[in-house]
Amino acid sequence: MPAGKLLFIATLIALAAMVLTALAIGGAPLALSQVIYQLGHPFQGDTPINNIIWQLRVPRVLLGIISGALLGICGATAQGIFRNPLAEPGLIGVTAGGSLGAVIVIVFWTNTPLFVLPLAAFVGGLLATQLAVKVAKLAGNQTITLILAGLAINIIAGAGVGIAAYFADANQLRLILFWNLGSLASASWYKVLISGALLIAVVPLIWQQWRLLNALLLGESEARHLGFAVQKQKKRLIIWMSAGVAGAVAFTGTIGFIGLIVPHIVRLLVGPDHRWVLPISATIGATFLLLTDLIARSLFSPLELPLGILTALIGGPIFIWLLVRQYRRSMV
Amino acid sequence: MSLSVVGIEAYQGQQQVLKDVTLTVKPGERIAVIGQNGAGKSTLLKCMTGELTPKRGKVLLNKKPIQHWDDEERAQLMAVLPQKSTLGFDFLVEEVVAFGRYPHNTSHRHNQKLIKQALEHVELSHYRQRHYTQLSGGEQQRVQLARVLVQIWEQVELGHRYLLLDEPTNALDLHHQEELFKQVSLFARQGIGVLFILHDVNLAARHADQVAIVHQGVIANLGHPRDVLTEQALAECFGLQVAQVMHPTLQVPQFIPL
Repeated sequence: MPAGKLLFIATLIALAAMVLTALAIGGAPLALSQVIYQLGHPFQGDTPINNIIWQLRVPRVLLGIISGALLGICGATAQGIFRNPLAEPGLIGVTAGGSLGAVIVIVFWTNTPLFVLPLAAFVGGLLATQLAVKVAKLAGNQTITLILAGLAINIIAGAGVGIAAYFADANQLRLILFWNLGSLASASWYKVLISGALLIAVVPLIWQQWRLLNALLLGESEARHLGFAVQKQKKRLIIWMSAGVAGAVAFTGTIGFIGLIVPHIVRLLVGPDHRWVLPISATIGATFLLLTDLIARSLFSPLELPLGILTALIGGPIFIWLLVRQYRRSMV
Repeated sequence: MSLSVVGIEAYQGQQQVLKDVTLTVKPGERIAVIGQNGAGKSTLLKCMTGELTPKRGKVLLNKKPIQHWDDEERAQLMAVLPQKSTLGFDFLVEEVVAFGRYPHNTSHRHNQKLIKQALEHVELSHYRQRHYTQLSGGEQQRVQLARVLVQIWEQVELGHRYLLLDEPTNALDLHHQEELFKQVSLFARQGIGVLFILHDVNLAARHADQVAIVHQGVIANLGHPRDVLTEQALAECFGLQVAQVMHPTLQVPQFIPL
């Protein structure tokens, strides 16, 4: 069996274990046997435990899996498209574009229907990605330009969010703050349904393109010589990646750095072949998000630390370390 | 059947780079394209691969206009080795070579067999499990050569195959330069049409069946190295005085700058 397949199966098992742990730990700690029993008896809402599991923890865990998996796979995809291991949806402005889209509908469309949020995040994210692609291409895909372009896009999107916040009422302001911090706290079955549909649609579409993503690492004209309709297929990938990021952040807000850290760990484990990097980034991304969420909600329990703060605390230093390492390597 | 450009005109921005160029790569033939920097050699290559559409003229791959080919089918017939490949991700050598099999729907086991053979041809069998980014520039170039060789390793139903190389010897030492041309010639003998862009006139004289001198956007001279490569032609093309000597065994001209 290829190493990638083995690791994929191993990460699925780890994810399952993480899910059970996340379901058991919380304000009301449950025994593993209780969790497993309740999982076998869905929606028998006559006991508090059944309610805790099926109305609170299962949707939260599912939303965590969906967001984490999407952030992981979209991070790996962005790094392939930009030919740069530091291209992360958050850093290059995709997430900020998505936030702006969502914040605009939150503020200017009272009582926004929930399903509009991922749509607005998608439009904003897609525009930001197109912008980053254009700027990066002009400057020959150098890391520094990519990061600076991302910085500029983040600033523009941040200003947009600021303008929207200026017109927002107190309730909307809380929603915007929640968006900027990122959290699974507002998980519900309806949200799971919408972003889950996006996950099921986007992941196979991206994974099918693993050969293209590998070939793109050689360069666009090399990929073309290898038989890919590069411009057309790359455009599609960008659309799917933006949709994936939108699905990940629409209901959780911006959770940064998962798309950077996770594919990096995966490449250390199985090498850069996208055939395995993509699916394993999804499974490890999901596990990683559940783990950080678990830490975020148990660290100062019953207070809950916003998840995005925690991933940023872990991810920021790792990003600096990767940056330094990349520059050291290019100096050699 | 052949790979040919017919009366093409091409531009880089406003600047006309190629004016009325016609060139045919026939199966089994090795053509060397030489010329000054900026003479239009790379543009010619880009037109041939369909990467650049010429403003006028036609590019035909096995009689069909290059733009009408399906991308994957075209890639089964034509492999291109770029001047320099930047691959910053840490693939294994055999994984990089495997890219060459992407256009083909052959089995994994079969592909592995071909990859092994291709690596033997470039003398890198023992490097299969090495990390590409840790190789020297010349070794990386040989891995890339194996990648393009494996892409057109076997006959396909769509017709004759072609191999285009853009300054393939740049990073190679003397031994591996000769080795590269030996491999390429083996391919040519199997009926593959080969075109290489070269800076080294002496390499072109030794290893090409035909030499095309590109000068100021036109093909100034085309023919057997003995006929085309003369002191006068090189002086006109490169603006450099050279002295001609005969290669002791191959009976082709070699040139020494004066």
